[in-house]
Amino acid sequence: MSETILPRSGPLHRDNGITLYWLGMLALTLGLAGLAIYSQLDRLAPGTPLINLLSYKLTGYANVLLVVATAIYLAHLKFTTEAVGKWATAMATVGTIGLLVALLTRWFETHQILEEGHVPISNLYEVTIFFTALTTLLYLILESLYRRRSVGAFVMPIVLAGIGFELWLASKGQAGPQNLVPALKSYWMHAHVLANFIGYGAFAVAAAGGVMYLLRRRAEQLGRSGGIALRVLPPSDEIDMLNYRAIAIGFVTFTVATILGAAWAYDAWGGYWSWDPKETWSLIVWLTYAAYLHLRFVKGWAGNAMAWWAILGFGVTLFCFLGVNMFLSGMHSYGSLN
Amino acid sequence: MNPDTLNSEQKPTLPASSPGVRLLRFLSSMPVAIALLSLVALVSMIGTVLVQNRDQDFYLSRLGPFWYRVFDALDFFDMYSAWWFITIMGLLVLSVTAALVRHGPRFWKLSRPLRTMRPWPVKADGEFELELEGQVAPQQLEQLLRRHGFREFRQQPEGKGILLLARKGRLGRLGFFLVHGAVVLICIGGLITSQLGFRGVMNLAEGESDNIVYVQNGSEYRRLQLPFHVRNDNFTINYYNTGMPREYSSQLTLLEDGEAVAQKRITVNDPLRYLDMTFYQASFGDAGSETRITLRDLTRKGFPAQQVESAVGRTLEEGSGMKLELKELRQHNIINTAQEEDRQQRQDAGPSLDILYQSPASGNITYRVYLAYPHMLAFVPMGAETLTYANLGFSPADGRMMGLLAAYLEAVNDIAGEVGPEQRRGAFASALRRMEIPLEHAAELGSRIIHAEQLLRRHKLPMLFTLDDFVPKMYTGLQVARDPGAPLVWSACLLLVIGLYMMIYMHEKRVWLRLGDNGHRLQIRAILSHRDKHPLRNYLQRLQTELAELGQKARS
Ligand code: HEM
Repeated sequence: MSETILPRSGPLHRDNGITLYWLGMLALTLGLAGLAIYSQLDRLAPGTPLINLLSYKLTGYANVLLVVATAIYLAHLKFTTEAVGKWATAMATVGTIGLLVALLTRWFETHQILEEGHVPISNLYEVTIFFTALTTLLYLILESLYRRRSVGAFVMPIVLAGIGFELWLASKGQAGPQNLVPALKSYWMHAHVLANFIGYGAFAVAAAGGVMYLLRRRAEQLGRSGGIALRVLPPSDEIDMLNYRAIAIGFVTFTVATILGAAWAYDAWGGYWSWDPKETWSLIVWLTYAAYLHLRFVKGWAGNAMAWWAILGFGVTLFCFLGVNMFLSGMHSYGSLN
Repeated sequence: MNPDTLNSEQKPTLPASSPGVRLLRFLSSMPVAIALLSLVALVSMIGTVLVQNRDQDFYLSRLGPFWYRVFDALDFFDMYSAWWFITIMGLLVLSVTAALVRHGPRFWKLSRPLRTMRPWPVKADGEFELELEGQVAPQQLEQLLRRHGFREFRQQPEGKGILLLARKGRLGRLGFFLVHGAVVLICIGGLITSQLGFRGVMNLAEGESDNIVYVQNGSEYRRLQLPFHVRNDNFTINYYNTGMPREYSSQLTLLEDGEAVAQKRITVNDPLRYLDMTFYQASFGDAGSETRITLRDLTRKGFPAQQVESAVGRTLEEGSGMKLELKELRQHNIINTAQEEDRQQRQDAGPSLDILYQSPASGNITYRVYLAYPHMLAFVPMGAETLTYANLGFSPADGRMMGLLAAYLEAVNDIAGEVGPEQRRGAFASALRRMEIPLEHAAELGSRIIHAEQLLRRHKLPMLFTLDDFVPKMYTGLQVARDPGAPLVWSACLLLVIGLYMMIYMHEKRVWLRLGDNGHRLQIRAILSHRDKHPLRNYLQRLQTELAELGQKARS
């Protein structure tokens, strides 16, 4: 018996309740960030070490919550009661809000401890936090729309990997706020990064959906009616649709992100496109998902092939996000590992 | 291709025979489109793995002669402008254009206003039937649908009842044109830029003006003359306390026949645009800062000093084959003076000059000479990579101490036979006498001299330097670009985003309502233009509830 709370086709209404709920969460996040910043008003001197920063501690606590949330989401596959599910959702929600509050606090902190503050999406450590927060947030919004908690068991491990990477960066001494090189001080850049990570988050959700789809189909073919996959995963056509929706959101935001990146390059380096490795890889990501949309809507492909495409597409995305910085050289210095 | 055409006769009907049409069909076919999309993605990867546009030595040393020749023949070192890459991109553009030509008319028709009634559809994406509790008039249905955003209506009597067709979102169909047209326009814009535009560099020292731009062409540069002069009035840079550049900017003036036509202080991310050209702050460097240094030649008798005025970038030569190169002037040298590991306590050691010393006798030694700490010796010994630091205890410019040291070493060298502590003391006393220094300072001076002597003996430095003064002189590195394709590209980008939104989120909906049984019975069929039919199902559920409510209200 799969969890069917709402009809199996997605949001029933343009649900004002859900909009209000998320607006409330936004207000809560801003309020908490205000409090956190207020508590730090006179406490930061230039050069304050990282471990004394409130944002660093908050990130740590939020990470713990997200790890716990992941565990509960996984447990929820077996113990599918609403109570367990609620705990998972609550933990993930509080964790995400924690990360967002931490980022907003860090924004303030950079102004106190550096000579010049910056929006905290400027180095690899910061954008990794941003990625985990956005991916969880996107998932939670989808969850509130579709009431499908089983998806969480597949999205959250990606978030977990993000947290692992973030801790690794911290252990390498890459977590401290750093001064920006002049090229990074651009509004285009902030908009670019923001849109990019919404795209990455959406592609991550789609990849999780791809894994779910393959598991569900396998279980269906094996015909084990008692199998866990059949019991808890949504019907396969619904997962298939979720894949498409996530990729559609991702494709639009990623397109916007790439254009914003080109606009930034146009102002900073004198050319909107230089075939720099990062640029080229974002083109590759874009083409990968453009092909996905065509295969799906023109060729009418669906199911297994599209699930695999979503998973491999996310692999390409990950390479664009991390691989390029780790293995290739280019002018996107903000993410470089040194 | 698309199943939900309004009528079957509007399916693309092309005479199959003509070769032009066959080519059009082939180019616009999905397998070709997917193949091209994948091919562009795949070949693009090559250039990200293989660093582009470096010089021959770079590739030869990495690839070896065989692979160098193979890759060179394939244009892999400048692949994004290689003929084969341009060809693939061209094919993609052709394919999209073919798709526009082939499907365009159909999408255009579909986006036209509704002229005539369309018959009750045989197959629909969603349908339901409803017994209404009260009698509902067609106008009421229309009103309700208007509230849902439907704007186009057609109705006709049908038997005893009436058939109503409502439609909305017809313009969503135009998304296809916008998206695919934009892809073509962006590529055309890129082509215009690459053919008619240029991107080059121009380095200008403060006060200098020039009209030559160096444009990279593969791994070479060609000179390009601008129709006006660019003058760097002044360049400023400031640093973070970590020594990293924080912001740099140049005051530029553009001069046409000696007359200023444009002026602006440009910084990174804020260029100067003039006519169709743009000047970007890209880099900076030393344009030959003037320096005054003192050299002490330790290989000569008496360690003679020599003051030299020169500039960064210059090389001083001497007959003996000794060469000095003034390599780099740094204005800030940030060091972490914190005791604990995790704390940062930065201190600026101030300006320094790197001097490369070359001589047949002593080989290559790089010295770093600090303006504020002349007694600090910092040098990279032969064969080493990192700096060695040592404290001489006094400045090499200090004539008295250097003279004393020289006199002492000379006296020691003059001793015949065994050199014990007794003899050294004697040598030191005679050195003091020669320098006419009173004996009362002997103890303190003695230990300093011994320390310096040991240090120089250990490191075998042939020469010492001090940086006495400098006047910084910077050049600004400008990127100069003319990009005639940019306006087209930006407009196309806007169209692309709008078009994508329309294609993915603005769905055309057509709903037929068959009102029968004296306004008591409703039969609904609906068609959605998009293949993701789920939104329609939700929508119809909502419509069903509202229609039922309408019936209830009509009864009461
Ligand atoms: C290579 C040549 C291309 C051809 C022949 C082609 C052709 C088509 C066709 C026939 C459709 C179907 C429209 C419909 O039935 O509603 C379509 C849809 C679409 N195309 Fe292309 N296209 C090409 C390249 C591209 C590229 C490079 C993009 C990149 C953005 C793109 C984006 C889309 C999108 C987003 C859709 C809509 C999918 C959906 O319905 O959600 N196309 N294309």
